[in-house]
Amino acid sequence: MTLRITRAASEATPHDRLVAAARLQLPVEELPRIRATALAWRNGLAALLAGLVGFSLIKGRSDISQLQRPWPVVVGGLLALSLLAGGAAAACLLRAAHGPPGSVDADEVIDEAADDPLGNADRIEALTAARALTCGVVLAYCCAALLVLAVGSTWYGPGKQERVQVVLPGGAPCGEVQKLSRGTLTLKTSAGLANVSMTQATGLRAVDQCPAPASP
Amino acid sequence: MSDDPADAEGRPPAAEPFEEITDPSYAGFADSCEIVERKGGFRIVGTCPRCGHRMTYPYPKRVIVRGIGIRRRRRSDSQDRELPMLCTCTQEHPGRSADEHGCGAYWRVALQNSAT
Repeated sequence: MTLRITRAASEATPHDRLVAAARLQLPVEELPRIRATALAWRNGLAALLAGLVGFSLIKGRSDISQLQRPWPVVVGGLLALSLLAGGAAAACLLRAAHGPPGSVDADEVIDEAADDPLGNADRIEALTAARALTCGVVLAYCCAALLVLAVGSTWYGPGKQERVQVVLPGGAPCGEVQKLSRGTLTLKTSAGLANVSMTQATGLRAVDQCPAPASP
Repeated sequence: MSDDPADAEGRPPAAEPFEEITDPSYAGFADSCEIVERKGGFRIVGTCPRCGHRMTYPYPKRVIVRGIGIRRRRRSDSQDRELPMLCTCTQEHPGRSADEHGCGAYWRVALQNSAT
């Protein structure tokens, strides 16, 4: 699409002059404005995330190995994504508040055709900083949301089923307890459900992992 | 106009005094101006129809205004509309205050968006 200027159909009024002057005023001092806005957002979001993480406002299990699979993997994935989002948010917010960490070509900064040779560079930087600020804010909220999801998963994720091993004169079946009825314990073992008569048991112990069945 | 040659003694011609003024003839600005598209908007470059100085009128599409998050009615993307503008030349014009621009002349142009 191409923009084109032609003669206007109507004459200008004094109000038009006010509108034209207002449009001239809008882009003035954009860069200091966006820098100040980015600083305020950076500080506010940093305080929010520091409150969530540093002061343990939300705290879940400290040992996710107590969760039933695959929940430890889910929690780990959410925490990793949260870390990535937080890092990217910090980079974007710092970029918006302080500018790029490097030098630029002087010829790209000076606009020889403009009345204000530096004005165009300031305007481009202001728009770039505004985009970085928007990205940073969105990513920081994503970081907080992922963190809350991860901690919530440790709260509400199913815990690992307790396993027991029953010592009998002829063996030691091991598995998850299903039920206990009339002296018979039903275990879910790797070979299926097994009924164990507790009247013959000489020992009972809780285990994290059942021993591998002996090979024939 | 100020672009006239200097007088016999080599002095530059006196600049037009600053005055908020418009005239139907100022619409002729549209015949000779050009649009320079830039990131985040465009600018209209031409010669002021009153003082004759070169001038640039910026037209930003998006601006950063701290503390204002308004979402007012949005113009259609066609951008076919009339645009008020004023002289923004940087030459001296007697009587111009520090917060004013150019020689004081203002007018309207029609902005058209062709699909070519």
